[in-house]
Amino acid sequence: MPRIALGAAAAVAYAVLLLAPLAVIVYSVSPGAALEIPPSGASLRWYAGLADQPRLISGLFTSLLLGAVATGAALVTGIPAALALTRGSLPGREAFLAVLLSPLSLPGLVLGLGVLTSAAVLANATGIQTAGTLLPLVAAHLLITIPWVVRSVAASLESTDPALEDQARSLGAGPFATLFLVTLPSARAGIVAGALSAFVISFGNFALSLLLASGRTVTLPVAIYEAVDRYQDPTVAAVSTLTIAAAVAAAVLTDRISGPLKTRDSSSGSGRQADPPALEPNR
Amino acid sequence: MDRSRRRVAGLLLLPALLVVAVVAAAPIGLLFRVALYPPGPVAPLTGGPELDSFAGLLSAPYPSVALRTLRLSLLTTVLVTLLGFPVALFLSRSRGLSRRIQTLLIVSPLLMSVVVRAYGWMLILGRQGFVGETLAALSLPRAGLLHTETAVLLALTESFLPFMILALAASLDRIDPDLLAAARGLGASSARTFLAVVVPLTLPGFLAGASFVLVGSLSAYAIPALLGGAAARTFVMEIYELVTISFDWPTAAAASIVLLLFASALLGGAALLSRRRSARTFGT
Repeated sequence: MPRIALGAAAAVAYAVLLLAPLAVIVYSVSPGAALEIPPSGASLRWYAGLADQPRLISGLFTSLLLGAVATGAALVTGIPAALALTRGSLPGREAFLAVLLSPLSLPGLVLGLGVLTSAAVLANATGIQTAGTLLPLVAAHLLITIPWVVRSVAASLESTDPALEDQARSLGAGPFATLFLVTLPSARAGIVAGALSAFVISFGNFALSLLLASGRTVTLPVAIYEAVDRYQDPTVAAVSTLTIAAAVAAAVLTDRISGPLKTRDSSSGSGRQADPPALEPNR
Repeated sequence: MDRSRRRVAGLLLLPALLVVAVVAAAPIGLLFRVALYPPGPVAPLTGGPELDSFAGLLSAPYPSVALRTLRLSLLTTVLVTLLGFPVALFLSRSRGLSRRIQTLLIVSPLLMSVVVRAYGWMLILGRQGFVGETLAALSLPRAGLLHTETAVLLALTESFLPFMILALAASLDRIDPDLLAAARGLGASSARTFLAVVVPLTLPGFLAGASFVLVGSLSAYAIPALLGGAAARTFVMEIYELVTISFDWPTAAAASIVLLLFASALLGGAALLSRRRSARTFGT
C-alpha cells in the first residue's frame, strides 16, 4: 500500500484519538458556562472554581490515596511473583502467569458487584464492616494493578542476565544481598514503569470503582461521571484537563524510562491480557 | 537445590495468587450462589436454590438489550480493525522520532480515564456542544448526536482503537523482512506479497485484538451510559440498574454470570483459534 495513503489513514486515526481530550481542554478555558463557537476568549476561572467543588476535590484526594496504596501493595505482591515466574524454574509458569493476568479481561462492573457482594457477606458472617471504608476499593484496585507490575517487572528481569546473580553468589553474596544489590537494581526500569502503569490504571479506573465508591470513598472518575451526568459546567472540564495532563506526563515519563515504548511490550497480541513477549516460549 | 528453589518460587507467587483467589475467584463464586436465589425487586436472598433468575433473562427487555450490546460490540470491532490496520502498518514502518511520537499518541489516551474521554465526546456531540454550536454559528439547523447508538459506537471505536493498533503492530513487527524479500524474489507482486504473506501473519494479532475489543466493548459501562443513555441501553447498564435501582441482586448476578461466561468463551475461542493457526503455520 502506498505510504502516503497509509500516512493519511494514520493521520485521521490520530486526529480521532485527539478529538475528545481536546474538546475537554477547550471547554475548560471557556469564559462562560456555555460552549461558544467561535470562542469569545479564554479564562482560567473554572480552575479557580474547583476550590468550591468539594466532591471533585475529595474525589481527587481519594483517587490519589487509592492509587498510592494500590500501587504500593501491587509492588509488594507483584515483584515477588515476577521473580518467581522468571527465576523460579516453576513448572506451569505460563498457567500461573495467565491466572495473574486474568483479572484484566474481567468486566469491571461485574467484578465490582462481586466484591460488593463479598463485603456484604463478610459483614453478615463476621460483623467486620468494610462498607464506607477504602478497603473494598483497595482490594479491587490491587487485583487489576498486580498484572501491570508483574508484566513490566518480569519483562525487565527476562532481559537481564541471570549469570550476573550467579557471579554475585560465587563471590560470596548471600541470597538477600544478591536480590537487593544485583537482581532488583537491574530490573529498576521495569519496576518504575510497572509502578507508574499501576498508579495510572488505578487512578483512572471507573467501572470497577462505581459500585464500591460511596460518600467519602467516591473516586475522581466516579465524581466526574456523576457530575457530567447531572450538569454541564466547565469546572468538570477543568479537573478533567488536569487528569489529561497527568496522563500525557505519565506516557512521556514511561517513554523516557523504558526507552521508546515498544508496541510489542504493550501486547504480544491482545492489548492487555497478553503474555509479556519476554516470557513467551521461543518460537 | 532445584526443589528448594521451586519452594521459594511458590512462596513468592503465593501473595499475588491469593489476591486473585480472594478478590476475583471468590467473589465470582459468590455471584454464582446469589444468582440461585429467587429473583425479584428487593429480593431477600433467601430460598432456592433455583434457576429462575437465569430464566428471567429470557424475557423482555434482556434479549433485545443483549442483541443491541452484541451489535454495538461487533460494529466497534469491525470499525476498529478497518481504521487500525493501516495505522498499524504505518506505525510498523516508521522508525525513530516519528515512531516515538506516534506511540505516544496511541498510548496517552489509554492512560486517560474512560470517563474523561466519554465526557469529551459528550461535549463534541451534544446539541449545545461543538457540533451543535458550529451548526448554529453557520446558521444551519442545530443538531446533535448525543444519546444515540451512533454516539456510543463512535466513542467505543475511539476508546478501543489504540488496543487494536498495538495488537496488529505487534504482529507486523514480528514479520521477518527476509520473508517479504523471498516472496518478492520468487516473483510475487507487492500486492500479492501483502495479501498472501503480510495479512495472514497478522492474524494472531487480529484475533487477540478483536477478542479483546469485543469483550471490552461488551463490558463497557461509562460510554454507553453517558453517550447512549436510555436510547442505547446495554447489558451492563441493565446489571447496574438491577443492583442500584431495583435491588434485584439475583437477576444482576445471573446477568453477570452470563456476561462472564460469554466473554470467557470469546477469549478462549480466540486463543484456541490463534494457537491452532500458528501450529499449522509453524508445525510446532
